[in-house]
Amino acid sequence: MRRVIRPVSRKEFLRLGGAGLAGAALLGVAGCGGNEGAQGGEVVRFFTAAQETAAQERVMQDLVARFEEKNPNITLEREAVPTEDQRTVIQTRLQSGNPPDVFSYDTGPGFGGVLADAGLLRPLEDAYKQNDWGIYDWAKQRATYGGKVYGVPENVEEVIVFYNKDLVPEVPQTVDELRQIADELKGQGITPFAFGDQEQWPAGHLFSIGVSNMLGREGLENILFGEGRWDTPEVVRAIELFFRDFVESEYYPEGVNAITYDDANALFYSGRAGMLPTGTWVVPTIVETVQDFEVGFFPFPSIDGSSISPPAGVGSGLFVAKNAQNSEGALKFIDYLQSEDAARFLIEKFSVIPAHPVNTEGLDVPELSKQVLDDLSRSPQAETFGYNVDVLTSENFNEVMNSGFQEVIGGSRSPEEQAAALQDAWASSREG
Amino acid sequence: MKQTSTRSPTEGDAVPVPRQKRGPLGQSAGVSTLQRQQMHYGMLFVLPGLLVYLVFMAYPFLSTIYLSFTSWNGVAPTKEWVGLTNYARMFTDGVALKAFLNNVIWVVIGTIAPVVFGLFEALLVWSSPRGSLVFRTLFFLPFVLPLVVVGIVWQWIYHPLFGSLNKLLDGVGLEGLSRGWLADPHAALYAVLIAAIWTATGFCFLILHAALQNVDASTVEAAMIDGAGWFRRAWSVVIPQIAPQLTMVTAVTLIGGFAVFDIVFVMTGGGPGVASEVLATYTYKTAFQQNEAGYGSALAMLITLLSLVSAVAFIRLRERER
Repeated sequence: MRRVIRPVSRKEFLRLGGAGLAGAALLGVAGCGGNEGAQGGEVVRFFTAAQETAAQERVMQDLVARFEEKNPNITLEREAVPTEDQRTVIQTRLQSGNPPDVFSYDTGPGFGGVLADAGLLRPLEDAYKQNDWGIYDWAKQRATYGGKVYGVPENVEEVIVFYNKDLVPEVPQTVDELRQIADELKGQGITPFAFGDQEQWPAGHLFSIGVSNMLGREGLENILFGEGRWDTPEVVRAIELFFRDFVESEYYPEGVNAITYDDANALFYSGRAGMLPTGTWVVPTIVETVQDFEVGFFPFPSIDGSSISPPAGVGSGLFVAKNAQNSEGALKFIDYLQSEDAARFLIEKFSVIPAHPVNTEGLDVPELSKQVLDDLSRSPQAETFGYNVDVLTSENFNEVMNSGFQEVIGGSRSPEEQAAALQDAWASSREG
Repeated sequence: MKQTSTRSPTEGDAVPVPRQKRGPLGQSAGVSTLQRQQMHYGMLFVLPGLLVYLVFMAYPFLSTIYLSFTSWNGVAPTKEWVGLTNYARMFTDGVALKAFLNNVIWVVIGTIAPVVFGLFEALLVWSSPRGSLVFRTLFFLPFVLPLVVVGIVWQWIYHPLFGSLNKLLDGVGLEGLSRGWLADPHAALYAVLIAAIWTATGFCFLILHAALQNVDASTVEAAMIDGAGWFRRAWSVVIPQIAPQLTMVTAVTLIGGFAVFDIVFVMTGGGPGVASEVLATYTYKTAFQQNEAGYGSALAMLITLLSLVSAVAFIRLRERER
C-alpha cells in the first residue's frame, strides 16, 4: 500500500502556529513571574556582584536568611554575577521589562550616575525621610546625581598598605623609610610590593594614593570639584614615583603589567611579597586566607614632605529600579540593611564599614578588622582622608588614566605625557 | 462555493492526474495541491530557523547600523542622531588606528602561519601513514579547546613569575631573553598571536587533511616516477588538487582575523596600554565600558566591512587565478 503524507491544510497550519505562539507566550509570562512567592508571599529580587570566596558567599546567604526571618512574607531572590559582568548585565536588565527590584552597584558617575541620567532609577528622597536612614551626609552626596539622591551607600572604604609583620619591622613615616624597607626585602629575595596591573584599574588606586598625599584633600578637591588641573608637577611626581621610580627600583614583581590583581594578592598572602597596597575590601579575604603571619596596615607615607591622606570613600550603593515590580519590598530590604542587626552582622562577617553610625561595642571581630574599623570610624569626612579618583571620574577619563599608567610602567609614555593626557581627557569629559 | 474542475481519466491515461484547483480567475494555479501543501510543510520547518535568524542576526545587525549613526550611551532612553560623526571620529582616534594596524598584523601573520603550518602537518600525516592517528589527534587537539581556555593556558606559559617559557629559557642559559611576555609592549601582540596560531593550525590541519583524502594517488605516483621530489610533488601535484579547500580555510581564517576578540581579551585585555588592542576589544571597551554604544557600533561596522571586503577580494583573486 502506498503511504501518503497527509498534507497540512492552511487552517491546520495556522492552528499549529497559533498554538506554538500561544505556548511561547505562556512560557514568557511564566518567566516574568510577577512578584508572588512560592508560598504566596511576595518576592523581592536582589541583584549583586558575587563574593570573592565560597565562605563569603555563604555569609551573604545567611544575611538573606536573616532578612527573610524578620520578614516572613517576603522571599528574597538573590542573583549574583561576577563583578566584571555586573555592568553589562545590569544595564540590559534595567532596560528590559523585567528588572531586579533592588541592586548593588558602584556609586560613581560612570556607574550609578549613568543609570540615573537614563531615568532607570527610582529617586529615594522620600524613602530617606520616611525611614530616617542615617547615612553620612558626605556619603549620601556620592549617590546624588543632578540634585536627587538615588542610592543608599553600603560601605566606606580606604586604600592603604597592608604589610606582613614578620617581614616589615616597623611602619614607615616617609617614602625614604619605605625605600629602605623595600631595598632590604629585595635583598632577601622578597618582592617589596604585591602589585599587578593586568586589569589596568589597580594602577588607579596607586595613583589615588599618590595624588591624595601630594595634593592633600583640598588640593584634590580643587581638581575633582573645582577648576584645578591634572598637568601639575605634584601630579607628575605622583605618577613618576609609582609607575617609574618603583618599577625601575624593582619594587614590584617582574612583568607587573601581565600580573593580575589576584596573582599579586596571592604573592602577599603566601608571604612572597612584603606589602600589599590596596583597599580595605580585601580584609575579609586576608582574615580568611592568611594563617602563617600577622598582617598590619599603614597609610602610604609622606612623599617629599607631603601630607598623609589615604584615599577613602564610598564603595558600592543600593539602588531601586525605576520599573521595579516590588519597590516597597526593595525598600524594606534596604531598610533592614540599615538596622543595627544587619550592620553588626556585616561588620563581624565581612569587616565592612557601614556608611552610617553603628554601635560597635562588644563586636566579635578579628584584630585586623578591628584596626581597620577604628581607622575608618574617624569619618572619611575628616580632613586627613583623600579621594579614590576612579569612582569620582567618568569612564572615558578612567580609560585614559588606567591604560596610560600601563604605558608609563612599560616605558612607552613619560609621566609628563600621562599628566597632560589626563588633563585633556578631563577637559573633554567636562565638555561632554 | 468554489468551482473545481475535474477531469475524468481517459482511457489512455496510465496514471490518474491529481485534481487541480483553479485560481480566483479560473485559471489553473500551476502548482499542484500536493506541492502547495508540501510548501506549507517546508515553511513550517523553515520558520523556527528563520525566526532565530531574524531575531538574533538580522535585527541586531540592522540595529547596530542604526546605532552607529547616533551618540547613544547604551542606557539613555533617547538616541541622538549624529550622522557620520562616529565614522569621522575613527580617523582621528589614535587608539582605533593602533587597533586597526594590530588587526592588519594579526590578519597577515595569523592567516599565513596557520595555513602553512596546517598544510605542512596535513601533508606529513598524509604522506606517511605510520602513527597517523597519534599525530592527527595531536595536531587537531588545540582546535577542540575553547579559545578562552587556550588564552588562560598560554597566559600561564607566559606568566612572568611562574611561567614555563621563562623557566625553559632560564634552564637553557637564555635568561637574557626571559621577560614578562604579555607585559612587554613590543612582545604582547605577537605572544598572543602565537597562541592563536597554535589553535588555528588545528582547524587548517583538519580541513586540509580531509581534502587530501580525495587527491588522486596515481598522479602523485606518476610525478614520483618522473623524478619529482617531495616538495615538487606537493607544490605542483597535490596543492592544485586541494585548492578549493585551501581557499576556504584561508578565507575563514582571514575573516576571523578581523573579528578576533576572545583570546586577546583573555590574555592581555588589549594591554599593556593599548599595545595589543585590536578593533574588537576596543569596540567592546568603547561600547560596554565607556558607555559609548554609538561609537562602539560604528567600530563594529568597520570590523564587518573589513572582514567582508577582504574575504570577497581574496576569493575573487583566487577565482581569477584558476
